[in-house]
Amino acid sequence: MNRAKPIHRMLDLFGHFGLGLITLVWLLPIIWMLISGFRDPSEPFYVGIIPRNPTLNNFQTVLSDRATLRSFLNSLEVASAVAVFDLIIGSLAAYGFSRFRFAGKRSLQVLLLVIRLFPGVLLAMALFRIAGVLNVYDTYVPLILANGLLNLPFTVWNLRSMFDAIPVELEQAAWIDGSTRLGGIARVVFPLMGPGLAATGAFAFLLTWNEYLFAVSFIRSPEKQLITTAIAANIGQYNIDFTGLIATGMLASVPLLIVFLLIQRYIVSGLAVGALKQ
Amino acid sequence: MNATTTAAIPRKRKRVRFSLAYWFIAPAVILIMLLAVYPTFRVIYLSLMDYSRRTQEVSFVGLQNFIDLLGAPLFLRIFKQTIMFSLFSSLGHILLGLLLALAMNADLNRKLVSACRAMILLPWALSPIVVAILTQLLTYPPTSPVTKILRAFGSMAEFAPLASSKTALWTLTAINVWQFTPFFMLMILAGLQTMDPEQHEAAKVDGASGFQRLRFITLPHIRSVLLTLSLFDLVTTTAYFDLIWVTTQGGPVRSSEVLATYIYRAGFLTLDWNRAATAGMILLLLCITLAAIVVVIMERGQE
Repeated sequence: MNRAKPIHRMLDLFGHFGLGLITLVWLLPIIWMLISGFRDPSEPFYVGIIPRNPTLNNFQTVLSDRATLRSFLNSLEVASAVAVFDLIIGSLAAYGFSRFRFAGKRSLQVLLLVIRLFPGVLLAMALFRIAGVLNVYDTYVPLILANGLLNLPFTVWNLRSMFDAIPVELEQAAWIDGSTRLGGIARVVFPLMGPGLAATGAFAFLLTWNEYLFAVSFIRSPEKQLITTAIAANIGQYNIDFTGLIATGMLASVPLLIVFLLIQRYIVSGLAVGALKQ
Repeated sequence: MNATTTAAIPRKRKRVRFSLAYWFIAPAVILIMLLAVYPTFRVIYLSLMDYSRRTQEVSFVGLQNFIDLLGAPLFLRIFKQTIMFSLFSSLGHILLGLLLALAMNADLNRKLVSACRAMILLPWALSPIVVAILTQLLTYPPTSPVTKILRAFGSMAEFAPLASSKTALWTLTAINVWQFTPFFMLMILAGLQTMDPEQHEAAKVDGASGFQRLRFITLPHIRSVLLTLSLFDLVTTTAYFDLIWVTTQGGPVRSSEVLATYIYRAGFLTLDWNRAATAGMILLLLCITLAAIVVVIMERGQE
């Protein structure tokens, strides 16, 4: 677009500047956290916005703390399990929705929407009691199942839109070559989905990594705590090591934020289904 | 190959493979039945029963739990606080989300816009726990930059909005709006991008102002999107738990307590599962009513 008039150029510049400014202001709380992570624990926060003696000590302290490290590994274990669980169950269901017409399809889609809107606290309450009866309280089983359930609708919607984009003729060719349905999906469809499949799993991972309610409801043992419950135990006490808390928060969130930036464009269609259309 | 045969093959195949679909859907359905449908009935059952500490017996009490709860001034206050939190959070999400989406939809450099859009979504991908750390950092006087700003202007005023029963819930609402508005921006933006740009061009030629085009072309186009998103959001925020529980635990003096934290406290802390289930049923009924409206609107949109 060629805009010769200077007034238009001015407006254009103003628009670009405005958009950048809005984004920057919106991210200020995160920027404040990122800066504060490098602050020396002995330096009071109100002395200056930028730390006087930037230090990496806070991260070192966190990473040398065995309990914190273990909670990171625990979160990694649970979130990976949920991602795999959701990808398996979700891709089967998504394939079914994408390739077949069957009685009850419509009501099942509505059911998925209902699950998406189901209050987590009720699920936690009911599962807590069932977990007690089945003797799986304080294990990761109810945690993985509850997270798996709540992330399932998104997984199904996102994968379904990807299956829809792959012509069934490609699978038919594989069947003619003697492939089974599942074999065809594994050999022909999945390779075509590539990064989208990984992104869907990564998003289920991210949601589980961030999850707090189920983690605090189903786990009691100190050595089984996840990163969210480990951090939460230190929040709200006013005599705590703030810089250490911030450093832990940064280590728990920054890697995932980078992953999130990379996968964003692959998850929009699944999110839009949940919120906008069926 | 002519058009009629290519169209006929897939349809026929679908009919032949009719029952195969259920094998694919089955694991998901079993999971949903076990983990959502059964617990719902379990909660209904619990809400109709009562446990007597004196006789240590569980007995059927019908709707007595509901009558007790709805007659308690504290519960009614918490109910009202939930509605306020949900209403104002949703209002903030949609209004600010619309403004942001319009800004992102403006005719600007593509690369800048997509970079800004990606960055501004970051708060939404944060764990509520990390947001709780941020909240603490921004509202606890010794760490808050607001304190720094106040001191710079020579004011000795104390800025501790989470410590006051007048401002705690509003602060949490504001932080919720900050965290989740970008998601609504993304959804509204998706709605805006389905619009036909020629319509705007035609209106421009006819001399319509920017505001008139927004009022008479853009808004009517995304009306149903905004409506669905609002209802969807009302359901989610009505059941909101994490940030409130981690930062204030519903305090001070339960001024930021909402239904979800009330239920959690009644169940997991007080171990009064019947009261928790009763409050849970009230929350569920509230959500179901809103969700039913969402489903009806979506079904209507399909036709």
